Amino acid sequence: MVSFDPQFLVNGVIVGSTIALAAIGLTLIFGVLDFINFAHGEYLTLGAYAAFVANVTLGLPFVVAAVLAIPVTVAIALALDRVVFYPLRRQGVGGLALLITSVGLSMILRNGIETVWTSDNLRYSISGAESVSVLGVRITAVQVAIVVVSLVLMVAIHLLLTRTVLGISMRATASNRSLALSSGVNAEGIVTWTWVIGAGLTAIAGVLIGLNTVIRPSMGFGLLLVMFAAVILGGIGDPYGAMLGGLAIGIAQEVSVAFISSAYKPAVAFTIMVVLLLWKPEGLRGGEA
Amino acid sequence: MLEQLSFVTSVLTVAGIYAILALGLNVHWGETGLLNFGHVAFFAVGAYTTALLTIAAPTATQAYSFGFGLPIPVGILGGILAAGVVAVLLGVPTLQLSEEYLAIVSIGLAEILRYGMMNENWLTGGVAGIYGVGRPLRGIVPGELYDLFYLGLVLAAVALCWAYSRRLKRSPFGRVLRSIRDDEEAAVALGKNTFQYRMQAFVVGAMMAGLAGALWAHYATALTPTAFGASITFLTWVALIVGGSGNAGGAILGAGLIISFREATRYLPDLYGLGDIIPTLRLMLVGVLVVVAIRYRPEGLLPERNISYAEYCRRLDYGGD
Repeated sequence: MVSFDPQFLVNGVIVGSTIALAAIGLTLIFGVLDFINFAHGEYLTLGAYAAFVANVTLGLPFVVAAVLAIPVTVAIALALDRVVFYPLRRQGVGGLALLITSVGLSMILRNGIETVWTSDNLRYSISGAESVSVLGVRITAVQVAIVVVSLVLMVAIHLLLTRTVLGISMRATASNRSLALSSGVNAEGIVTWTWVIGAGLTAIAGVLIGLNTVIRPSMGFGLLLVMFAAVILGGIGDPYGAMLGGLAIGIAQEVSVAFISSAYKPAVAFTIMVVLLLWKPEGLRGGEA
Repeated sequence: MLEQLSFVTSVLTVAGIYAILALGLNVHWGETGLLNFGHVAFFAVGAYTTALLTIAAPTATQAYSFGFGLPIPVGILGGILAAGVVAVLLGVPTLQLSEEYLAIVSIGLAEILRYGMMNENWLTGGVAGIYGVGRPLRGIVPGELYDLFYLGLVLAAVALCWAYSRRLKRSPFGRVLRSIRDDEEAAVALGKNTFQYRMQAFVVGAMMAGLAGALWAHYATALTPTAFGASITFLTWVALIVGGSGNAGGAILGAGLIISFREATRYLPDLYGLGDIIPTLRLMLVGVLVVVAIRYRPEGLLPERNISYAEYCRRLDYGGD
């Protein structure tokens, strides 16, 4: 038996909280727009690069750059929705056509980013990377900030979904679209707000992941599987499930390093996902979204 | 002249291999409505299986530890069967659920397999890969005609898969698949075990991809993990959607067009000093093709044609309508 090192658990919470943010975005978009967005990973990458341009290319302070990444990513997501997804929604084609389209969109964005910034690993210019040791666990100030920002955002999302008309309309649209429409919910308005919140959260997740590791064109695509696993673990369309799923997958991945080669971290997420599909396909929380 | 001929031969061989991939995906998506985004996994399994079955046992300097030296036809058959087995394993957790789950799990499997290819040196030779995969009848067919001979072999395999797909259009089995695709509840109401039919279609399409992989292994003679990236899956999807999903001829046409496009742009880099960005620009364009095709011509260049009941009766000489 390998003696358990709490370092893995702490790493897991850091990784898991960023995955949870991105997974909330993915699951909200699925719930309201009724298709699985395979380009979601690229929105994460876009967020990371937007902050990189502001921080390194334009020389702005990191916090300003990170905040700027949100409106930039949201604007791109809204423009893409207008050009790519909206015409298909209006034609009334099903979720599968939207899904295939998002796969194409993912290729365009990923390779577009690589065309401009090459496939090199990039980093933000920021201090605070020196690690301190707390109870035998190494952690940096930046990593503490990552966890705090993620948790604050998750609480904010919870308040939005339960205490505001917008949040309640979003949940209503996700659970029963036609009933929500007949109750006077403005469908396209909700779609727009879902992109704003979903892409915004995902952009922050991208910045935080870029901060914790490196920025590269395939970072979002590489996390797609992990985000899907988090979403399925929590039950597709369920934002609270996505939070828990993201944390669980992140912790499971990092703790697994104690037992298996770190090259297989994504395989851990994949295995959890397949086992869950066999055992409880409606997600651990069982469809009580 | 000879140089151009050998270029055309190599483009046609690769296009033929992609046509088999597209025909397999056509059985999945075109006929049955299965969203398989991990097609490259079956391609890779077919390629590595035949390579390991047919190469000689490794010497001490090689990373991999298997090599059975079996005849090439046995290797190809093994590659096809291995792809089918992987399809069963992938189908069990996903094919009873709604379509999106297969999409997610298949794209995941393809990625995990790639990590495996890169890291399991004992099996796949790791990043360095496997070299010296044999070519069928190498000593018997004269050298200058060999590429043409291999092209003939690939085209025969395309013809075989095409004939199967044509048969699928007319057979009761194919009709059940299309009924599952178009209205699963109706198929269930008619007493069809849709899971079983889906599984059979999934395995058949995967075996075609395994065949394509095996033919690729004996054509390329060297296998490395970088050759089995997700872009193969996406190129196959574009080929099928642009060509016409649900139409076997469309799948072949699409594969021909996409591969000609890829090979034609291969020699562009030197022209305008764009060398570094051409590969990513090319993949961007592939993505644009997907988006545009789904929006403006979702049925593809050669749309699906199903024969009507009256036509069916006339062909069978029933005379009934």
